[in-house]
Amino acid sequence: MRARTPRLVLATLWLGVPALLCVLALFINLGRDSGWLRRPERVVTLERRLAALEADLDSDVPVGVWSDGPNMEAHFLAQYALAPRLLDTAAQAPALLLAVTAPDGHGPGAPYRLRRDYGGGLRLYVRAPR
Amino acid sequence: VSAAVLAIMVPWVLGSALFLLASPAAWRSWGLWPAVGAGLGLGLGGLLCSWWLFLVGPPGAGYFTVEASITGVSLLALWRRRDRLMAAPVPAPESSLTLAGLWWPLFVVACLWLVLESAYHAHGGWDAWAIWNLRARFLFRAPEHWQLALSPVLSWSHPDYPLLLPSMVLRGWRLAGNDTTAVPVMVAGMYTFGAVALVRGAVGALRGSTQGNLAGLIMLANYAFLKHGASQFADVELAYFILTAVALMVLAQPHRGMRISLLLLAGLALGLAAWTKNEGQLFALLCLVAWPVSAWRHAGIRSALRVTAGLLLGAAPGLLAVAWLRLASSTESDLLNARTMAALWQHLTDPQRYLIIAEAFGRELAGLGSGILIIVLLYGWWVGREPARDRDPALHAGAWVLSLLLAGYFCVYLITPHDLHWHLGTSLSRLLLQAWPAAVFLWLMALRVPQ
Repeated sequence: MRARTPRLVLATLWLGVPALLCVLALFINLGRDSGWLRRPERVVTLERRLAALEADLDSDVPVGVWSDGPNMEAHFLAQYALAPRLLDTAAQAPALLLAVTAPDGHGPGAPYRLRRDYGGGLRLYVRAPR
Repeated sequence: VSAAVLAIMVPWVLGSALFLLASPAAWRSWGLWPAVGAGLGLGLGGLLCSWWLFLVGPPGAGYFTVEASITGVSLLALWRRRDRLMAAPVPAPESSLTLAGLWWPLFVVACLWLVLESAYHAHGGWDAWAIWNLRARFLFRAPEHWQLALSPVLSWSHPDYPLLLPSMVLRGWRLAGNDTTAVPVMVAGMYTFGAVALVRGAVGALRGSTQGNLAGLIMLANYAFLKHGASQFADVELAYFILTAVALMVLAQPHRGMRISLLLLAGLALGLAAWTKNEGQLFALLCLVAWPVSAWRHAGIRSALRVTAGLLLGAAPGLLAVAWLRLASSTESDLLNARTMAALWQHLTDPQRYLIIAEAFGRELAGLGSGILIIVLLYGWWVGREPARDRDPALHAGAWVLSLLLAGYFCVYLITPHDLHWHLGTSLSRLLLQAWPAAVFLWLMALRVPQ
C-alpha cells in the first residue's frame, strides 16, 4: 500500500498537470477571444450587404465590374453574391455595373447612374437609356 | 437542418460500416470507429458526389439512391459478419485515472462554443467566403456548368484547388434543396470534432483510455484548431484525412501482414486528402513512397508490394479526380508556374529566404495553439518514451512522412512568387495545423503511459 501511494501520486501528477493545463489553455483562449460572445458588427454588415446584393442581382442580366483600386473584400463579396455568374471585368457596356472602389471612391460616371450604395466601396450602377 | 443531419448521418453509417468490416476487432472501441466512420464516410460521399457531377450530371434522386444502396449493402455485409464483431476483445478495465471527468465537460464546452461561433459566422471565415463556399455555390447553382467554378476570372480564389469540400457541401445542399448555411457548418463541425475524437479514440484503443483522454484534451486545448474548424477552412478536413491515413497505417501494421482491407481504407484517406487540398497531394505522394519503403525494410519486398497495391487501389478514386480536374481546368497553380520556375534559382540561392522561413517556422511552432506544443513536449520529456514503441516501423514511417511534409512546405515557401512575409503570415499557421492531429497521435503513441 505504501509503495502504491507515491506511485499513485506520481501518476496523478504526470497526467493531472498536463490535463489541467490543457483545460486552462482552452478557457484562457475562450476568455481572450471576445468574438464569440457577441455577433461582430463587421459580420452583420457583410451579411446585410450580401442579402441586398443577392436581391438586386437576382436575374440573368450580365453584370460587369468597374474598379478604381483594390478592394478585395467588396470584390469577393460581389462574386459570392453573384455566383454562378462571373463578375466580368471585360464586359462591354453591361446593363448592370458593380463598382468596387475604395470606401470613399468615385463611380464610373455617365452613362451609368447609381442604383444602390451598399457601403464599403460597393455600389450598383445601371446603364441609363440613351 | 434535418436534411443537413441526414446528409451527415448516412455517410457516417457507411464509413463506420466500412471500417468495422475492415477491422471487426475495433467493435468495442466506442471512441474509435464512430470517429473514423464520420469523416471517412462523409469524404467518400463527397468523392462519389464529385464523380457523379463529372460523369452523370447534377446529383439528384438517382445519386442518393445509389449512395443509400451502397450503405445498405455495407450494413448487410456487417450484419452477416456480426459474429466477428461479437468476438472483439473486451478492453481491460483501467484505473480511475482515466481523465474522463475532464474530457467530457471540456468536449461539451467546445461543442457549444462551435455552435455559437458558427451561428455568428454562418458563412465561415474569409477563405470560406472566397474559396470553399464560393465554389460550392457555383456547383449548386449551376451544376450543369460546374466548370465555371474553375474560371480564370476567379484566379484570386485558387481555381486549381481540388473540389472535395465544395462537393460535400453540394451533396448536403442538393438533399436540402437550398443552399442553407447549416450544411457547411455541420461539415466543418464533423471534421473539427472528428479529428479531436479520432486522436482520442485511436490513442485510447492502442494505448488505453487514460492516454486517449489526455490526447483528446490536448486536441481541445489547441484553440487555433477549433477556430479554423469553425471558420470552415479546408485545412481541418485535410488534417483529419492526414490523421486518418496515419492512424489506419499504424492500426494496419503492414509489417506484420495485416489484412489488405485496412490498407485500402488508408489509401482512401490518402485519395481524400489529395482531393481536399494541393498540400494533400504532397502528403499522398510521400505516403505512397514512405510506407512501401518502410514495409520493404522491415518485412521484405512482398510486403512492400502488398502495401503499394492496397494504398494505390484505395487512393485511386481521389487521385483520378485530381487528374480529372487538372485536365478540366486551364488555370495554372499560383505557386508552380512558369514565373516560379524562372525565379527558381534566384530564390533557392538566397540565404536570406532560408533564414526568414526558418524563423517563421520556429515562431509559429513555439506559439502553436498558444504554446500547447510546449506543454506536449514537456509532458513527453517528463514521462519518457515507451521502449517497445521505439522499434515500431509504423510510427517511424508516420513520423518521417510528417517531417517530410513540413520540409515540403518549407521548400514551397522558398520558391513562392508571392511576397515571402505576406505568404508566411497568411498561411504557415494553417499548414502547421494540418499536421497537428497526426503529430499528437504519433507522439502519444510513442510515450510511456503512467501506471
